[in-house]
Amino acid sequence: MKTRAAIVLVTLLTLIFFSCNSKTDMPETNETADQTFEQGNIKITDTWIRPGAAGMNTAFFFNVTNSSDMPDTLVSAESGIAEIVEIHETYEKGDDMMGMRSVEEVVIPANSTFEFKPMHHHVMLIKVINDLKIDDEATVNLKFKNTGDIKITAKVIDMKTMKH
Amino acid sequence: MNSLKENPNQYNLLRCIATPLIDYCQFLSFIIGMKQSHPSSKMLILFVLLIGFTSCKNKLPIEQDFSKINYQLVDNDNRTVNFFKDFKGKTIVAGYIFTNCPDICPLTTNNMRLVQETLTEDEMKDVQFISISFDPEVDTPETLTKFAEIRNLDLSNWTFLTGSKPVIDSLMKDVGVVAILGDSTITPSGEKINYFVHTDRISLIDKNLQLRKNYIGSKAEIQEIVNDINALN
Ligand SMILES: [Cu+2]
Repeated sequence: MKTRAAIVLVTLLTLIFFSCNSKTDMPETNETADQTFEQGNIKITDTWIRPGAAGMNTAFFFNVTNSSDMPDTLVSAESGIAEIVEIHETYEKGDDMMGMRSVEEVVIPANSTFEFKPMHHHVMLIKVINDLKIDDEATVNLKFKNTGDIKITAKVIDMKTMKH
Repeated sequence: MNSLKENPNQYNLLRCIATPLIDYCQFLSFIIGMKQSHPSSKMLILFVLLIGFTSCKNKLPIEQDFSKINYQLVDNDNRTVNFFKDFKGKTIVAGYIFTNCPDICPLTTNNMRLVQETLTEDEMKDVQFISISFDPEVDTPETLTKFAEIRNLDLSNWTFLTGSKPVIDSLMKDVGVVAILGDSTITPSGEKINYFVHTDRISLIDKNLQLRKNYIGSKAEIQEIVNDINALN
């Protein structure tokens, strides 16, 4: 009887614990254009841009895969869709504070994938020229120290599709 | 500083776990004392189960009284708004943003949108979404409207607020939202664009203008906010 009580207890405890912790971990999958942009040992995938109104700012996200045995470095980005294009990172400042700052460059280590993703790194599009609406496409030129220029296109993705 | 008070989410989780634990200690001692199949034991299990589950709910203590805070702000349609007074009687989901922010504030705004979309029509009753800018010099009503429009936000129960800089600064101080000038960009035309290091926050405020919970805006769990809204309504 004691064993049964213990089993019931453990089961109920587990149930309660999970009911209290009902946070569903939503994956940050997104419906990015299935395009790959390759040059030498550098491959750019999962490109997407957040919507942004003319005159305002937005961000461009993507993955960089470096299949070389040598690191490469993203030194800058250019695009006609914004007045200024910079490489930025989002950072935590403690006490639930968040900030963003520009970075000189981003090193992509050898044989690895580096994600420019929300809350980490992005290419900052400052004062976009025209409205970037959902499904619009834009061209961005990424400049790497070793590989040189890689011209990519990215679609404007509704953030609604980011979390399911 | 009291770190539990600083982080109400952690505090609530702790209570949520502790309360059923205490319930079960009592339950266990009762079972052991009772020995064998007592006719009321099934009822007891049901009872304890009920307590355990409901103990997770209604754990939204009043964190701060916002009913005395009142500032004259302007909304995205250029109308004067008394904040918070005009929203008494509404369950408020408030987010603090600046529109030049390309990463955190869009995530916070998107999380509020997901809450709005998750609530059923019935649950949505008396719920008001409010995004308040802490960068009023840039965020005019027109800019806030553009920010909302480009994201196809449903503004039927969502208001964007801005105001004069001293008023906004004072409001942010009252509600405990910090926004410090950080990095900036100078455009070719000489315009300076400021980026704030800021509190990343969504707040849940009840119909009596009592702050009930703060969430980390960009990382907020949609279902948690939805559950909390439903617990208040
Ligand atoms: Cu940025």
